[in-house]
Amino acid sequence: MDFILQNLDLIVFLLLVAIGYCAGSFAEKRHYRSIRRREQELVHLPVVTAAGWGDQREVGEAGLVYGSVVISIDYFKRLLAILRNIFGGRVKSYESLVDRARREAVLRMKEQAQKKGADIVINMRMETSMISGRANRKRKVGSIEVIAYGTALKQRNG
Amino acid sequence: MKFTARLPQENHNVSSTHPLIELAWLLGGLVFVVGLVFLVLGLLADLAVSRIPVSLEKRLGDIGLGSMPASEENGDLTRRLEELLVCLPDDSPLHQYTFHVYLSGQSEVNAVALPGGVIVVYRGLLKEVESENELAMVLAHELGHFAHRDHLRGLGRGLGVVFISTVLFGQDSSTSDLVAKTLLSYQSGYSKEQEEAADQFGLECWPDVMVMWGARRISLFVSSVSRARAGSLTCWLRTRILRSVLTGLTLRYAAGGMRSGQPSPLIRCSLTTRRLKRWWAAELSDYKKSRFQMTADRCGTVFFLPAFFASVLR
Repeated sequence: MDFILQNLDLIVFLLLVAIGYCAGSFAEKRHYRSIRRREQELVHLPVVTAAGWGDQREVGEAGLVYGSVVISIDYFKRLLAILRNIFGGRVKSYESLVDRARREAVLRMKEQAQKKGADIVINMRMETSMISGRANRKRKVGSIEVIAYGTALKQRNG
Repeated sequence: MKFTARLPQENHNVSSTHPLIELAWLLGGLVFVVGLVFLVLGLLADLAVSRIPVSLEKRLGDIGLGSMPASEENGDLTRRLEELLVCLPDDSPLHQYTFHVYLSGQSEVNAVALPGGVIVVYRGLLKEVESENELAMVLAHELGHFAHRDHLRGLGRGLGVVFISTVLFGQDSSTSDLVAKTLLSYQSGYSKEQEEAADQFGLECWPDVMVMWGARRISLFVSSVSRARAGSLTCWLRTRILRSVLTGLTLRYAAGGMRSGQPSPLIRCSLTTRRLKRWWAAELSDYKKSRFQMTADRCGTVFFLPAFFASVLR
């Protein structure tokens, strides 16, 4: 008991790291499963960054579609990133965070486009920003927001 | 251009390294770097210690004392310390200090030496001591730390730790606070060698106090070895005294007996040879009855006792 009280900070820290690792890994695996399934479902809807599309058919309807997502990093990955900041190199722990956020944002945009009955999304762009109370001041990454937006086109039949 | 709907076969944007493997590499590297810098700063601190004047040490001590909860100077304890100082030779480095003994209300069984000649005795220790000899031994031990300036060495390394963690994690980082606090709490203690050197100093300056106190506590250790409680005076004794008193005293006695010197006025009682024999026999009998599973170091200690007492009785 004395040991616990004397090293309370350290124990809380290790506990948070363990919880972060378990919960973060679980959430990430589940999210990737969901992303892969929805990407397969929406694979028929093309999304391009080009401003135009080679199809010469007349455009029946056009409109803005967007999808945004905010994803937070877990305590374990944050620890890895802090340690990586000391030695330099690829911050691998953030790679999956950013990858998930980008793919999720595109998926949400495509889902919106599908609801509108679009045949294609053109001129797709992405923006990324950090969201955290102290993110900009202390150069800390708490959560990231990714927004993907583009122009959904519905071509006129015939 | 024909659009073909298909998904990529693999995700090249995410590394496949397992995060736990990455953590192991990063932590290993960090421990190596911190250990290296810690060693270098420790060596620098050791070199600088002898050059720090007592006046500066006193200023550092005032800061340290301010962080000790509920400490107040105790006249009785200070007088007891002064009685010990009278026995010191004129060229002792301890004469540069003006010593003050403070009593802290904490229940921990401990006493600490702060820079500038301040000794803080915890109330828990006072409750455990049974004679003035024991108290004198504790004070002599702390004076040993002052003679070797161990407290400054610890402080120097502590500042090194704070420096490292601040450079690595930033000034107001919670990680920095955590690392500094963890390493500082480790560093605030003295090494085994420093403790032994402090005991050796006490042994050389006040051999009578050390011998009587050591013999008394060895008996207590043997009788309570099976029921030792963490944080008790017995544990304090085992870590700080047994290692040095047993080896130091026995070698000293084997080599020709105690150094001649004026007995300390603090000794109020002495054990006659007859009483010592009887007491030892009783303690040994108690010990044989105990069911305690001896660990390696305790085993060594117990086997060492007959040699110690044989040399004392000679």
